[in-house]
Amino acid sequence: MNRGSLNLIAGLGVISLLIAFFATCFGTISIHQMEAWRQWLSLPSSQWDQQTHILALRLPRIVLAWLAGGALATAGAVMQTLLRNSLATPFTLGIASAGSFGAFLVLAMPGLAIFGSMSAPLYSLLTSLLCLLLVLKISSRSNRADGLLLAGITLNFLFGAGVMLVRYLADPFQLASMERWMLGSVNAVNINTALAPLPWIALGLAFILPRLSALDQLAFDEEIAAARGVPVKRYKTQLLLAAGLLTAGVVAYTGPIGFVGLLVPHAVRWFTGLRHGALIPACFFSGGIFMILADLVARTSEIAGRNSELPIGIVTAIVGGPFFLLLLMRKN
Amino acid sequence: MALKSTALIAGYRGREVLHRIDLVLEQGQFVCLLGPNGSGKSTLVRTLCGVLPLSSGQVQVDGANFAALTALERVRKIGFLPQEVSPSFSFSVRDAVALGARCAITPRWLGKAHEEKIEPAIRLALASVQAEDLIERQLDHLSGGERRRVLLASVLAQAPKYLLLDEPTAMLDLEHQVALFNRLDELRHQQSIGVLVVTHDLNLAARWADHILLLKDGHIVAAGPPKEVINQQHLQSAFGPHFELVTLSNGQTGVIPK
Repeated sequence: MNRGSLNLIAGLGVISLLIAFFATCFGTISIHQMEAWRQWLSLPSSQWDQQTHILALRLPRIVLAWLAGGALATAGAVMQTLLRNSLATPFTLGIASAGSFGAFLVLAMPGLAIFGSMSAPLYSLLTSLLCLLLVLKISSRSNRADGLLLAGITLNFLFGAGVMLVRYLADPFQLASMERWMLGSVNAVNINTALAPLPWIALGLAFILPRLSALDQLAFDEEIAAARGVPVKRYKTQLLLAAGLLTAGVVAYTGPIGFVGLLVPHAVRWFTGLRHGALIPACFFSGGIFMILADLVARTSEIAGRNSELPIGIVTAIVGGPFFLLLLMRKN
Repeated sequence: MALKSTALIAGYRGREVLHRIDLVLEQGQFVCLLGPNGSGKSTLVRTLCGVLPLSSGQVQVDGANFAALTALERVRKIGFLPQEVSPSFSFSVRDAVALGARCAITPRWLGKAHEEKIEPAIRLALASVQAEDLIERQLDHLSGGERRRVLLASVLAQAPKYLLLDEPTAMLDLEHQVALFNRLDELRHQQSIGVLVVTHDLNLAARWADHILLLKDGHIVAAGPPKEVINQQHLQSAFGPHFELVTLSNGQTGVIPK
């Protein structure tokens, strides 16, 4: 990796820390940051004032936003390379639909909630991983070059149909919960909930990071990559599983938050070029920054007539859509 | 010092395409692989460079079993350019050629290549195909001939001992076809690279190859110097009766449709 890329990644790391730090002071109530941080770091919770309690509430969602944004942006970059399609997203292979289906099953049938409040994320994770394995199995039996993409799109429709069926049968109260899930949220109750996706994200990254130069070769040409010693089929399966783990781990705890996985990799390529050694770390940090800022907008926006937060999925789409179109026009 | 296949059998999903192929490509030798569509030419080069697995037989490079080589040893021995190269993003010429250089230079910790060696390797590879002036261009903005030269540079950046090219002149006009074959001829003389080219152009093969392999239905039907292989009998058995041989003013054999 050259010095410029190292500087960019280090810079993004510092910026994400600074943004996370300052994001704690904004919300429906502003807090005096330094005093709140001092109390949070040095005093037991029983001695905190109101502002420190607010800080303690905001920190977990900022951590979850950073992790979710980073993971989705990384998964998006990997998917775009592996599927050789610049419109691929972490959700292209049906993982978001499958995750939503799993969560909705629990919301519609409370009898399935045998793990308490963790039931919806666990069912979501299980159905997402089931979808991923089905996509890989089906595509391995296909002779078509686009078999993976077609299998993913088909399963996306099938799980989408499952989602619609469960919603059709749900009562209005359940329907409201499902609606909230679909809009996405990084509202973590405590730091343990915020860190819940971390094992899946760490596992996914553990597969991706040692294969960054192989991703460069795969992005160029798969036959040339194979002739250059890249075990194409094995690495593609492992990398798809890794991107799927990143996505499933996040969707289970935040719901499907769109656009991050599409927009951020394209924006980051503008600065890093195509080398995954720079692209993937930069995507992780930039995705985290983007999501913290989107959550900040969601937390500080007052919808007309209602003093409540905007769903983060709407913010990422409203901010991301025009920005993505701008990028497309600049490239043209 | 040679790339050798012995009793090579290979194919796709249980369908045997190549039947016990014996082949030798020596360093500095120019070999053309001819044959009708579906005869197994592309399958053979893809198997020789490890893109397709062997069903049986053996491929040896400079006396070593190719399957036992590490990835680094492989890229330093064999460079392969397929018929079609379709990058999923808009690569710059520099990035495309750097991919070849980077995979052939010993990685340091965390896969970090010796960056200081990459730029000279890119420049050298581009210079060897006379494409230094294209270095800042985007691959998808180049003409067919320029693109072929840059792709060849990407493979040459590996500094391979043997170069396997699958129809490198496809979609090139006559001038660029001749220029490319001239360039390959210079490379094998200057750098002692063994060159194996899959082509449908019998006249180019007759003009530049030291040795021709004529493949049909996965079998080698003729092998030897152009004058021995390109004759009426072999042509008829491989391509049918619609061609005739002519002797050109320079004594070289040419093939024209009847």
